[in-house]
Amino acid sequence: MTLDRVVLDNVKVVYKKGKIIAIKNANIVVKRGEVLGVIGPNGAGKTSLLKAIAGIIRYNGLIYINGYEVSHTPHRVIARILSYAGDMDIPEMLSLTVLDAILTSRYPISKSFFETEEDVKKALEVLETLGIYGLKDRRLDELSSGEMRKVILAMALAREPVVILLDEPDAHLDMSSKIVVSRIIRKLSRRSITIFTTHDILFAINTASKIVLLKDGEIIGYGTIDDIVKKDLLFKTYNTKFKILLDPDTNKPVPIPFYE
Amino acid sequence: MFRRYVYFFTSLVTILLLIGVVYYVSLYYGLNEVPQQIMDKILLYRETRLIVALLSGLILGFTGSFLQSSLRNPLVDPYILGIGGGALFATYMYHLFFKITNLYWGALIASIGGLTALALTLVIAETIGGSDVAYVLSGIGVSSMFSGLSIAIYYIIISVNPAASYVYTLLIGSFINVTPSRIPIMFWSLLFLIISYFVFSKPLNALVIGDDYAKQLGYDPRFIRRIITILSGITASIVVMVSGIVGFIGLVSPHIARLIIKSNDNRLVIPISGLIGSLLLISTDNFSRIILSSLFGEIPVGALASSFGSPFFLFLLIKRFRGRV
Repeated sequence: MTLDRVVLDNVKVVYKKGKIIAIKNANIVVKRGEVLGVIGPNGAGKTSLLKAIAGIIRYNGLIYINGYEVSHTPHRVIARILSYAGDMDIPEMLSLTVLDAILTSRYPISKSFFETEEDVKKALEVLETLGIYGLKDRRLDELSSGEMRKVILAMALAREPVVILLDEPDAHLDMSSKIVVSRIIRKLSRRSITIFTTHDILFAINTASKIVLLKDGEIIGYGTIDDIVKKDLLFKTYNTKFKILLDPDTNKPVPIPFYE
Repeated sequence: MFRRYVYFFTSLVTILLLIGVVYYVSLYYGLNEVPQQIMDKILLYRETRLIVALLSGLILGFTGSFLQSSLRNPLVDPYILGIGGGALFATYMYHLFFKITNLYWGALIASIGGLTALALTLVIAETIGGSDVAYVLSGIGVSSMFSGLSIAIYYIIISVNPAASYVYTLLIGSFINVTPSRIPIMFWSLLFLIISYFVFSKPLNALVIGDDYAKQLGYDPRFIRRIITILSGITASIVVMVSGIVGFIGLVSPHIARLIIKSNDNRLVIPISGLIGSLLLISTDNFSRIILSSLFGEIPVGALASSFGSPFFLFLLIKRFRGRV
């Protein structure tokens, strides 16, 4: 029943012994082939949601990934099928090169102490797909924030996981890079379950198949693009008035905020 | 990809050869006209001293890179984190209260001292912000306190138990008073470090990238950090018990290793760092024993290590903070 999907059953995340509630009762099901975009204002709990699914932070309730309940399964088992790409703060002087860093992503699935040829081949392939092959010998601490974003994405993909969690994969990216990243996420969705967060509603609309609106840890709306991208729901989430146009080419809604 | 393995193996072979040359030269230098009976004794002494220096260097090189990676801090080593001072203090306390000392009890007590100082440094560093420099500052504070106390206790030891005055050499770090009985415990320490190298060098690579990243790879960063710091604390304390405080070797060796193999991958850095530590220590010790002793007397290796290690440390500090105010 829970195979091939990510299921969140009444998930609650609290910090500081219950003083701060980051997620209140989230119920979400994402099937293979779906891309879920999580949007909401700052501090809504987007990152907490992803970290809970990845098993990085504690939560109450149940989270199933391909039939494994996350908190009752050893991390290394989850690590073989899931990858989480969040912010990184790389210490200077100890930083790995881009290629080395991407190879670390394959540790959970590799058996040998040093890399195999296949590991290196896969890592280089991912770099190629993201158009950052030229960065492979640069050190992580020397990258610009946009380059770092792409490397973080590459680190998430190199393991070829079933479940991919991306925390703001489009942050710090220029327009064309955003489109490249969006295309890669949609392409991945054929064989995986992808959940990402973003502040860019247009990016979410054009990348995700379903959207979660999150505010103060509460799910304001959850459904397909057409169900979710509505004036009232967006107003409830962002406290901002939107007008919604329709893109004549893609037939997708284009929300535009009012600058009053 | 392939290139870094070439750098690694060339460096490995070169350093091993250099160690071999220094070892051979130091062992046989100036023994031409010595009668056979004395010769055996001299060779035994020199050999012991060389092996202890080799093992100390390996342990310091390993623990230095372990600590730097697990704490994600390029400015630390066992000496800077206060392990040296704490272990020395505990060792002196042991000599103060017990006239007959046992090697394994000594190791235990030194380790307790080293770990206590380390824990103190880490706790203070975290409470003052946990930055790279916070660790250095808190370590300097803790190690000055223990070193100061050690010097005071040393004076009490020589008045209470003059037979133990040889512990003087521990204060500066020297291989002059070595005995073969010390070799096995150092060997075991090294063995543990080598085993943890194979177990933990990949997790450490992930840990350097970040705790969350390591977690989603299936590693437990807190557990790894705890194991690595405790193991480094114990083994570095054993070095202090045997040869005293030899500062900066643990700091310098990993950085030299990273420079020559042009990689920060712990699987490659850690063993090279160990070997560099060894090479530095036996070269310095024998430079002092053979060359300096004919000019001024045998300067303890710890003093020499500090005099070339601390400028390197200052250089690292400047490099780390250049361009950011």
